[in-house]
Amino acid sequence: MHQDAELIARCQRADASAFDAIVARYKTKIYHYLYRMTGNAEDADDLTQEVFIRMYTNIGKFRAEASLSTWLFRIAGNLAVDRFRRTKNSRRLVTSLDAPIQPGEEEASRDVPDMTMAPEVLVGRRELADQIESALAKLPAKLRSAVILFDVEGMSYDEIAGVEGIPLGTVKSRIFNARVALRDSLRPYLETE
Amino acid sequence: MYTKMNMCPNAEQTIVGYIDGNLATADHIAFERHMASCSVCRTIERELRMTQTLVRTLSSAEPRQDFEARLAARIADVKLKPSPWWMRFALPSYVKPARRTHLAIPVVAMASLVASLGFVYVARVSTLKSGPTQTAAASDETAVLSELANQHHAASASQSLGDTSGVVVVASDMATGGSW
Repeated sequence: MHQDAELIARCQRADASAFDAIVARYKTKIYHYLYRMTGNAEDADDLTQEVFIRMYTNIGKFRAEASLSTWLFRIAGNLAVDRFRRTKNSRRLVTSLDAPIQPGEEEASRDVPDMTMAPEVLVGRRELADQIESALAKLPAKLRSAVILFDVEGMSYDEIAGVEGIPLGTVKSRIFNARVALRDSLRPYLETE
Repeated sequence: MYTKMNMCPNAEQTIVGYIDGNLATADHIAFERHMASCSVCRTIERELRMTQTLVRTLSSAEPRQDFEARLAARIADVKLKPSPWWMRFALPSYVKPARRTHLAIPVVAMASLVASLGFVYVARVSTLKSGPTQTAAASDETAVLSELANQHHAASASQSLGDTSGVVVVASDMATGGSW
């Protein structure tokens, strides 16, 4: 945290190496969050760059009311929601298993996982990962963000409340509702245990 | 299968806190006692914990190797394209340059409309304020003329008909700039 404050101060004095240090420190976290939010590497990459461009252009206005991490994730979340709104009619995050396979698309990528196997056996397999990603993509953006920030990014409830600008109780409620929805989507994997 | 209808009161936040290890010790113990006798909460807790485990198995994703180089190029591009001064006033800095042009036109048009309405309003107010002053000035002018007319009639009445000396006096006074 202190290191972030020092980097911000140096950034505000136009120290390019401090900006590079912040990028190096946060790019993977932000990219990972955006990848899970958008479900697509290209969008995640583009939005991660946009996050740092916004940081670059607004660093002069940054006051230490929130942590750098909170600020960056807030920008990332807003960008993801904005991108999702603009593209939801033109591109579907979730691919229907019934949809016809497009030319060039690998048929194997749409295979339905073997639901008779225990979850721990399937862990690490691409099929299960695809199912979890599809289940995440089906969540409303607010719920998806809350569960990703907690379960994937490892943030605390307080930090999520700061990023999302919501009360602590709402954070818990969103995480609960997200897990219930995920559980319903992933039920075949749960019932085998 | 359960629904929110058959969940215990306040179970939602308690279960989340219990799974995530965010309950106070006393609450944690109390909820464990509760679950021992409540199959619904026990089932929810078990399923949601398993769901959390599944979500946490997702592998980390990494940005491309040339991320920094591409970012540097985009930032250089941002530096090279400063917004016009009027656009900076009209739109916040977080609006993308590409969207600024589209947004700027209606924003500037609206600002112009507001400025025009403001100007009309100010002009109207100043007209209303200056109205009574002008009326007062006009009535002063009428009073002076009336008094002059009275003086002239009085002077004329004291002279015989056909005598034009009064007119000559007035004309000479006017020519020399003297007072009436």
